[in-house]
Amino acid sequence: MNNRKKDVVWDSNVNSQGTTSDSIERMIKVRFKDPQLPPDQNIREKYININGTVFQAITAARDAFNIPEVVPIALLFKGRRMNPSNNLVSYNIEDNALLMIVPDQIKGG
Amino acid sequence: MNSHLPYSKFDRQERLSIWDQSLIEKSCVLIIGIGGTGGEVAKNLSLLGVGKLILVDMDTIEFSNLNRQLLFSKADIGKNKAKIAKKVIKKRYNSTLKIEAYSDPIQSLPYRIFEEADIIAGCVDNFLARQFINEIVIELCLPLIDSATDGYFGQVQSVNPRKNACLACDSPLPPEETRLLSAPCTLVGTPRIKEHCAWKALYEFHTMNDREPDENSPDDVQEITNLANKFATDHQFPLFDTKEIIQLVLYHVPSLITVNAVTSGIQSQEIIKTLFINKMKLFKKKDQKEFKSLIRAQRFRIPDLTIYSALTGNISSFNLINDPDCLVCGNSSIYHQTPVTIDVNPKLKCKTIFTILKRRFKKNYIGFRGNFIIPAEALIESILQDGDRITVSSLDDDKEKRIRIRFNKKNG
Repeated sequence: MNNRKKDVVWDSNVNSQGTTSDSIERMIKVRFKDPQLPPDQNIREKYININGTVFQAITAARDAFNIPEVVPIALLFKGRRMNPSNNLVSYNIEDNALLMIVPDQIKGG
Repeated sequence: MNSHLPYSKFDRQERLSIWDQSLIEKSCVLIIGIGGTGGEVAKNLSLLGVGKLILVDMDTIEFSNLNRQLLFSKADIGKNKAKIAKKVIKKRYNSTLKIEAYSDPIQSLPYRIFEEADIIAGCVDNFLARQFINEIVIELCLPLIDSATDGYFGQVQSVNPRKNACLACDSPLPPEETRLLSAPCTLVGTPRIKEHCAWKALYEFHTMNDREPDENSPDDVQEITNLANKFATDHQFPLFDTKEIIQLVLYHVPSLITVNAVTSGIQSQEIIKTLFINKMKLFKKKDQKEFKSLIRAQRFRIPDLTIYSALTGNISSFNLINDPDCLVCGNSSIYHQTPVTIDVNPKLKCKTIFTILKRRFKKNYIGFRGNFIIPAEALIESILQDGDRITVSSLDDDKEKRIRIRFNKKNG
């Protein structure tokens, strides 16, 4: 439980007891994978609010790997690039899901 | 092939399993963007023995290109990239290669050029061009291998229409900052936010000067800033300074020759693999079966997305699946519809097209070629060519259609 509390991405809906209401927040454990890192270091677990947005999940991924905001990143889930303004629920993410970290769209030629 | 040598110039690659030089020699590749990656892809494909290359780039060669774009030299500064690349490739790498070069914007290229290609290599440096190419490949069901670089990162995405994700699947293309431009009304209508004034100014600059502005030219930056400030004053937005204008519309991404070389190498290889797979359909059934078992044995695979980081040295690949709700390749996309063909006299004005459509569908339309509005008063033959396709949007119910234009001098 301690670990869970430490990793939870809290949002403004958290109540005064530090617990969350299921109707507003439902925390699930996901695994972020940064394929740029060596295999023994490239997966980190985090709890995220499944009722939040992809953008919040991206923030959690940054937090997990200390990726600064100036580095644009995106998340892939089961072969789909996740749109930051969508809600996570729209991707049917389940507990222990693997979210890949990739650079966000780049344009140079 | 040099006749006094006992082997072909391509001898070393012909020794590879799966390799089929005759298939490559019969292929035509359209390369859009002949810059850091596009120039390398053109060089690679010409040396691999591709039969025909079509090079497209409207840009001119700048001094800052010379550290990584090896087809160009100091004497070429100010000349068109596609045309110089054609000359250099023919002279230096493959004199028997069929090669065409176009300096027009891709939005004004005739459709026959896209239809002639077996595959498109997207090597452009902006999201608007990428968006246009993406729509074309979905409509014509052509494979696209697109590349992009930014500083230490390079990526290659393979689009196999109706089989995997297109460039617009699941993610906004173009992203937020350039999406402003994708709404053509932004350019001709009232700016809703301050940034629209900068984009309108850039559009105005293109119209007045018929060229891309140079970020390093103080005159160009000042001219765009003045234009943007004129729009900003007219619509009561705060004024821009030149630094803001550079950030908004003239920003060039950092670029490294090493990253370009790796990215274009991956892209060229994926192009060749895709040509093999697609041309295999022309094989006899027995040969097809043999080829399939061979590629299975060799673990041959075309990844949908490959990412290279020069910082870590890692190359990672991913599969991408298509989004059924995607506006470009999804189930309800207009690019899956058979376009309505209309016959027009090319000597008449573009408004004739909309008159014919109004007569046929009882609705008022405006037309788009890529992101640009088709000017009603321009002559059809100055904007379109026989066989071209355009999108028309109804002003009455906002629904879009794809239209195929057929030139017919009797009609109109």
